[in-house]
Formats: sequence, structure tokens, C-alpha cells
Amino acid sequence: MSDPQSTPDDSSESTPSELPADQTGTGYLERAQGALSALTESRMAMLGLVITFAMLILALGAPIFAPNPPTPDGNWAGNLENNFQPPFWEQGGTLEYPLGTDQQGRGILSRSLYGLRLALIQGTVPVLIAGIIGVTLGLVSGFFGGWVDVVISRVVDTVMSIPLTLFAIAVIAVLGANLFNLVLVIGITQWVPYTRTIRGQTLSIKNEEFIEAQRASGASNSWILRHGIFPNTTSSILVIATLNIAQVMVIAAGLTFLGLGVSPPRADLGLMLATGRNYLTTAWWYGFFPGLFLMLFVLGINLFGDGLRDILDPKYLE
Amino acid sequence: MTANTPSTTHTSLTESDDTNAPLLEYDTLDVTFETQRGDVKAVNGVSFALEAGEILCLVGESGSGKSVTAQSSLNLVPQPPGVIEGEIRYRGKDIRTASKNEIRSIRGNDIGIIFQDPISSLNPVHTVGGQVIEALTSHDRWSGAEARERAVELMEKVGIPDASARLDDYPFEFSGGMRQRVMIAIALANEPDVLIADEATTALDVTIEAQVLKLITELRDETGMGVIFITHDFGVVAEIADRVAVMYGGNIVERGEVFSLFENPKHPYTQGLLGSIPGTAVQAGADHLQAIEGEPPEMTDLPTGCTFHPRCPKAMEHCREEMPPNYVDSDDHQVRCYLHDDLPEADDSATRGRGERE
Repeated sequence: MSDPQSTPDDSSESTPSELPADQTGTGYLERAQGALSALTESRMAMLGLVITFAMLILALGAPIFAPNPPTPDGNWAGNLENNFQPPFWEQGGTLEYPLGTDQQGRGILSRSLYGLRLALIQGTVPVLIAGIIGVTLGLVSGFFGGWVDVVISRVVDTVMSIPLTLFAIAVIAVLGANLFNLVLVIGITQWVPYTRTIRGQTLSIKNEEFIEAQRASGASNSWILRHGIFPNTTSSILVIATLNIAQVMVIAAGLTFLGLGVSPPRADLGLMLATGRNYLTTAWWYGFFPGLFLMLFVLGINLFGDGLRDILDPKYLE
Repeated sequence: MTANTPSTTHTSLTESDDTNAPLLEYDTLDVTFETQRGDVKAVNGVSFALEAGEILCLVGESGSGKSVTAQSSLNLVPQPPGVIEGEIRYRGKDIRTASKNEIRSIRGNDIGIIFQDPISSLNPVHTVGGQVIEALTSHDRWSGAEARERAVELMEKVGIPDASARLDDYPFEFSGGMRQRVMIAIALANEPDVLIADEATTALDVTIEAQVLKLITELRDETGMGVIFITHDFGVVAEIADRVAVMYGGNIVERGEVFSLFENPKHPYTQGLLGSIPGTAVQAGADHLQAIEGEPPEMTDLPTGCTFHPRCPKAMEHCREEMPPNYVDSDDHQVRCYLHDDLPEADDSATRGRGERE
């Protein structure tokens, strides 16, 4: 055994006790920098981040960027004399409407920018709803097991077997087609992947020794769920949610395209695609540009989400 | 460092406590896990008592039921599949019949436990300091800045240098030995009356192990807590134990004062264990280390009679038929073996075949 005079404090000589006091808490910064450098190393993720940011700025700054904005009360003043004006580089196009106009003479660029704002809402709100439902059910299901787990798992199976479009048609037929119902319907159908992933993770995390250690120091079930298990699942939640935003945007545009979502005259990308389809042979820009904006937004988020998944996956670093 | 001796005694269960009762007492404890391959009888009628201020070492090979015994004392054994029978009394109060809230207030507050693996015993997503503070605040005995102050104090006490600066570090920034010290700090946070160390030093290198053992004995001297120290290292036992209990096949086969047991091991299993330690064996003049022949018993299918008889060099016909009762000699040295030489017959309860009362 060791020298009886030695105290545990002796080991302080071998460890960096000379750390300046102001280095307390540098851990956060270092980790943030580490994640950032991993992100910058992945080109695709960076590209995704740049596109996503550009689209976010365009969406949030739509009132500033839009050359032909709606009136403050949300009315789109059409000018039928200017209808179906092509983009400025084509013959007959003007810089007043850079990307041309639609059948009512409203600027495609301005309406697409405002459409991005709606796409942002349609992408994030359902993900929030789905995330909250899905993560809660996943945690509860994995943690408590038994009949709770059986019931939740069967509900998951049931939800998975319902075709989304059919369900959306049924619900919206009853509740009416508007933005709120659209977002709600998507939200309550998208929680399944969260539940399945978080349930699986909870099953493995709850058997970790640190959970038993927390239990041994008197922690309650709900405390263990909230502080012990949930923080360990956040990276998965982040990845699923990011990729889910892109999915949900496309779903929302698709449902709107089918007439189950936002109704005219609101500027919605899905709606513009639906109407623009009728004029594809005569005015290609009407359908093309809203589609392009939607595609870029979704592509950016997907690239970023893939990159995020790689960074947060420990195996990626090997 | 002596500033944090308890100013008040724990009040959670003291009102109804029997003052004569031992600190922690196990009475014919049975723990069975019902698995698809059959019932695993992890613990088979274990009875012993821990007094305040003593260090009791629980030794035995892997799978002999040491950890399950420890976990059952905080009701941490998952049920199902685990089935617990018998009684575990903390200050005379049966833990098995205590309510959920009573159990939670005993956990951490009255009985602290240190787990074997320091690497996985800390939550990777919370700061080390946060986890120590959490242990402090969870029983409403400290709060806010006071808790933070005490967390630093505790971490200094267990030998973490520059504790106040390292409070906000995450577990991955700590070495294994440091993490184990944090675990000890957490276990000691609420000044428990009982500390259960489940192979707490097995994963540590010997220098850190020595420091941790010293720390535990110092804290015992300072606070008078009772310690159950689970290990399979007789070197550690010799270093810290007051009393030793040797487990085999889910049962305590021999126990006694540490000197009595080391000098005069009565059970063939204890003799085998001591004979297989390089240092002591050479001192005794052996040319070769004596391994205990055979394998540990299959816990789903324990041998009849004495669980050790298939491996016992001195097994007799009678050993196959009936588990020997507990024989006690004047020094409270107890052994469950028919070859107990000069031991007098134990008290009446022992003739039931298992367990005893003191």
C-alpha cells in the first residue's frame, strides 16, 4: 500500500492544477468549435447549410426583397394587363417583375418569396407537433415497458398502416382546408419515426449503469426520464427533426397541390405549382420558379441534415 | 475538510427506528431471477448484519451473488424478473415493505452505493459538477450556491485537484480514476449511514486504489458510517476489512473477524481462495499455486446439499445430501461446513438448514 502519509490530494501534483481560473467552462466553447470544424470539413453539409440559410433569409426578409409585395393587409394587387409576363431576360420581360407574372399579373418572385415563408411554417410546426408527441411516447414506451409499451407499439403500427393522403383527405374534408388544419394533420401523422427511434434508444440507455447510479441516489422515474435519458437522445432527435422538416415541406406542398391545404389567394409554393401546371406550355416560369425554390429549400435542409447525422454519429469519426 | 460533518442526524426513518437494531441487516435473503432458461438463484438465504462504523468485506468469485445482495439492499433489483424473499432491514425497518417514497429517501440519503464501472456510471451529457450537485439537492438538504460550494468541498475531499475549475467539465474529460472519485463523492454527498462499494476499486490502478481505500477508511473513522465493501481481491480485504464474509453459490459460507478468517480459514472454499493468492501461498511454502478445481456452479441448477461439494477436496457423502448448517464459535467466526473441526453446534435456528439469527 502507499505511503501512509500520502493523502489523496497528493495526486494534484500530477494533474494540471495550474489551470488559470478563467478557463472554467471552456468545455462548451471547445465542443462548439469541434462540431463547427467537423461541419466545415463536410462540403455537402456546408453547401446545405448555406442554401438553407439563404432560403431562411429570403423567407424571413420577403417583405424587403419582394419587388411587388402584397398590400399590408395581405392582398395581392393583380394587374391583368401585365399577366403572363415572362422573366426579364426573355423577350417581353421587364425588371419590374424579374421572374415574370402569373395569370393575374402578380410577380412570381414576390409570391415565391412569400411562399417560402409559408413553407417554413409548414415545415417546422408539424415537426414540432410530431416531435413532442413522438419523443414523449418513445421515452414512455421504452422506459416503462410492459403493457404501456405494447399499447404504444400497436398504435405506432396502426398509424404506419394508414395512408397519409387518405387520412389527410378524410380529416380536412371534415375540418376544412386551411393552413392550421394542414399543419395539424401532418403533425399528428409524422410522429412515428420519433417514437420508434427514441423507444429503441431508451431501451438501451435505461440499462446503462449511470441510470442505475441515479436511481441508487434516490432519483424518481420522471427525473430519470427527463434528466437521465432524454438529454442522451437529443442528437438523434435533432437529426430526425432536421430531415423531417424537408419531408414535411414536400408533403405540405403535395397536399396543397391536391387542394387539401392553403387556399388562394395566399402565396403558397404548392398552390402555385398546382396552378402553374395548367400553363406549363405557355408560361413555363409560373410553375418552374416556385418548384425551384421549394426544391432548393428541401435540398439544402436534406444536405445539412445528412451532414449533421454523420457528425453526430460517433462511428463517422473513426 | 472537517467542516461538513453532519450537523443534524437523518430524520427520514429515525422516528420509528429500533435503536438496538443493527444498521443494516439481511435476514435469509433470497433473490431469484425467473428467466426463460430457468430460475437463476442468485442469492440463497444470505443473513448478516452490518454495524455502524465497521467495514464488512463481501468476497467471492464472479456470480456468487455479491452484487445482487448489494443491489437488493436498495431495492434496485429489477422485479420482475427478480423475486426477492426474506428481509433487509435498515435500522430495523424492512426495505422490502417500505413505500416508494421511503425507498427513495433511503437511497442516496441513508445508503449510498458506488458501482463498479466508473466509465459508465456518470451520465455523459451532464457536467460532473452538475451530477454531484444533483445528488446534493435531490434530498432537499442543500440548495443553490451552498450546494455548489459543498460539491467543490466533496470533490476536493475525494482528491480531485482544482475541483472548482473542474466542476463544469464533462465526464469524458475525466480519467477512470477521477470518475470513480466523482462517483464516491456522489455516494457520500448526503453523508449516508451505510456505504456500499460494489467492486469500487476493481477498475482502478493500484495507486488510485490505495488512495480510494484510504479515503473510505478515513471517512468511516470520521463519520462512523458502516461500509459493505464488495471485492474479490484479498489484498484489499486485508487492507480495510474489519469483518469478512465469503460468498459461494449465493450463500455466505464463512465469515468472521478479518484476522481470525485469514489465520484460520475453516471452509475448504476459503482455504482454496487464500491458497490461490500468489503472495500468501509462497509464504506458506507452496511450490505451486493451488487453484480451486472445477467451475462455479450453474446458478439455474445448484448442486444438492452443500453447493461447494462438487469442487470440494474434502467432500463427504453427507455433503451431497444436505447443506451444512451455520456453525458458530466463540469469536463469532461462522462457517457452513461439516468439517468445522472444533466448532460447537450453532443455535437452534441454524438446524433449519440455512440462515441464523444473532
